[in-house]
Amino acid sequence: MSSSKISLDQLRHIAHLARLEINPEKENYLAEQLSETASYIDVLGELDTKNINPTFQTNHLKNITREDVVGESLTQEEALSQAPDTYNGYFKTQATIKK
Amino acid sequence: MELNKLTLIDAIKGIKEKKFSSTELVSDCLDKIEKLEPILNAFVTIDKDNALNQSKNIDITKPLAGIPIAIKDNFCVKGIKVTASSNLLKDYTAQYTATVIQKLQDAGAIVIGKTNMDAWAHGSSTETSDFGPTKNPWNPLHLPGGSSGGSAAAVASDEVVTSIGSETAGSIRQPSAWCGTVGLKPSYGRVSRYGVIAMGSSMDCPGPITKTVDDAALLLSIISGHDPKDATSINQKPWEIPAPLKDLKGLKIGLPKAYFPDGIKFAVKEAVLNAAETLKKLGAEIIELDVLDPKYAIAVYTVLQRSEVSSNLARFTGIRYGHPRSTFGDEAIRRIMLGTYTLSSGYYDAYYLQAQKVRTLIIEDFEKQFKKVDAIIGPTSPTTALLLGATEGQSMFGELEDMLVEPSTLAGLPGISVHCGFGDGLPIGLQIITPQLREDLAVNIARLFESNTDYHLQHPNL
Repeated sequence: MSSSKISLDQLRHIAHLARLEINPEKENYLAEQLSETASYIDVLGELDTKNINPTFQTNHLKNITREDVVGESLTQEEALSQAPDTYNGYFKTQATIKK
Repeated sequence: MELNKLTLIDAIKGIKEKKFSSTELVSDCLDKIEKLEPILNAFVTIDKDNALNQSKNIDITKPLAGIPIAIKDNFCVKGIKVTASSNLLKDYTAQYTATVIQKLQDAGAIVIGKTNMDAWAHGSSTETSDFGPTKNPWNPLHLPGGSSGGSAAAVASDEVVTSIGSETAGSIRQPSAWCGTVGLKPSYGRVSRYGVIAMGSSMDCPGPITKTVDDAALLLSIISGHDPKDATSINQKPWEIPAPLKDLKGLKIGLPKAYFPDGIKFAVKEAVLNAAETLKKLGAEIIELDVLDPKYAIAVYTVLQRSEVSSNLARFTGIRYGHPRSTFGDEAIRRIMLGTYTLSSGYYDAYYLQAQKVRTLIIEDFEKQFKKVDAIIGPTSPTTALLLGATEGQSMFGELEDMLVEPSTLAGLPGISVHCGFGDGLPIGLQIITPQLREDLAVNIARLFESNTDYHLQHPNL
């Protein structure tokens, strides 16, 4: 793994993926900071991990399910109570498809 | 009477023996909070009226009857604001209660308020809180550490008798070291994460921040146990407080050379080596260890935590609750961006997957060490509390401050930090790490250390 420097194009692409709007005045500074952080993680490439399995979770519990029965849950009123905008018992969002 | 100065155990005893009432205890805490908050800023929300009301109607038979407790502001308590110290959630009221809080309330405890933290728990200073930093009670020009800095400062300053924090890597232990409290980080999965605002889900662990080891053990026995609402909750009964040990004879305790890195504060090194001497006098054999360089743990933690943050914070859209994503602060943006990068197409294998493999190497290294020793000790943090402003522009501040707790976190191990000295009037923490599910041993070593030293009896002058 080579030392990683994050370009402005990359920064904008990542911001789009993360649905964040970055103030253009802060772009250079943020790219520098991300590059600095990336330089700390490049050491991962130093270790030989051939034949080593990844550990995603330390107590190795997998596929934990429960009986498919209705339990306690929020009422519609509770679920909607913190929404900035609602309509007829639904969350109201901005249109995602342009006409 | 200043009942707020009591330990948890003594407060319980006082109420049960009717030496004072829960209302008197709650009132003394509220008085101290009112007096100190202009200096400390340890609380985001103080639930004064509810706490006083609840204190008037307690069930004396419950284990925590009438005990006020400070809760880090990333735990949901139905009907109370929960902000994670972020502007995005500053107007959000929890619609349900976290399992940890439910267990505390079922045991008779009263939530007195919600404590300040690094916003979204992203940090080790409490300086990235969107509501201003918390100050260290030992010297308000200094930081309390974090992210559970509000809980640690509230306990150290006697604003409350006890508290709950949460740790992903260091957020219970490091503020405990910097504020001179006891911080117990349980094994991953020992305590339910349900109702805790998620940060790094494969590492997040709720746990107690208290005045003594016995206080921490009591709280862990109450908040632990299997929870069907958390899929990573270990299928075990609540943890039981172990019978104390008389001494440490026959016990081997490891001291990793790498836990004394270049740049460690001299007073920290000296205090921890003195602590090792104390453990030796109690009968333990101290063995130097060669462990994997903590720089790899920093790298693994940085990748995994940022990746999990970018995924967990993706749910904050401002549609169902909270304010829009434009209200994320600088630190949250940095972390979401880096995590999105390490998970993105073309970088996943090199960063995320590679980090999970190196995590396996770290776990194997601990397994190897625990064949030689029963427990591992070291400094909790390489420094004492730094000055306010220390995090400014430091994108890796937390990781470098937490380098000595990140390896054990990645392995899901339990650990405890206890007060073991002072440097320039600021507390120093000793951490004790044990194998998975061996909180009993960490607690017992810490108990013996505490009862043979007097650091825990010292209080800041406020």
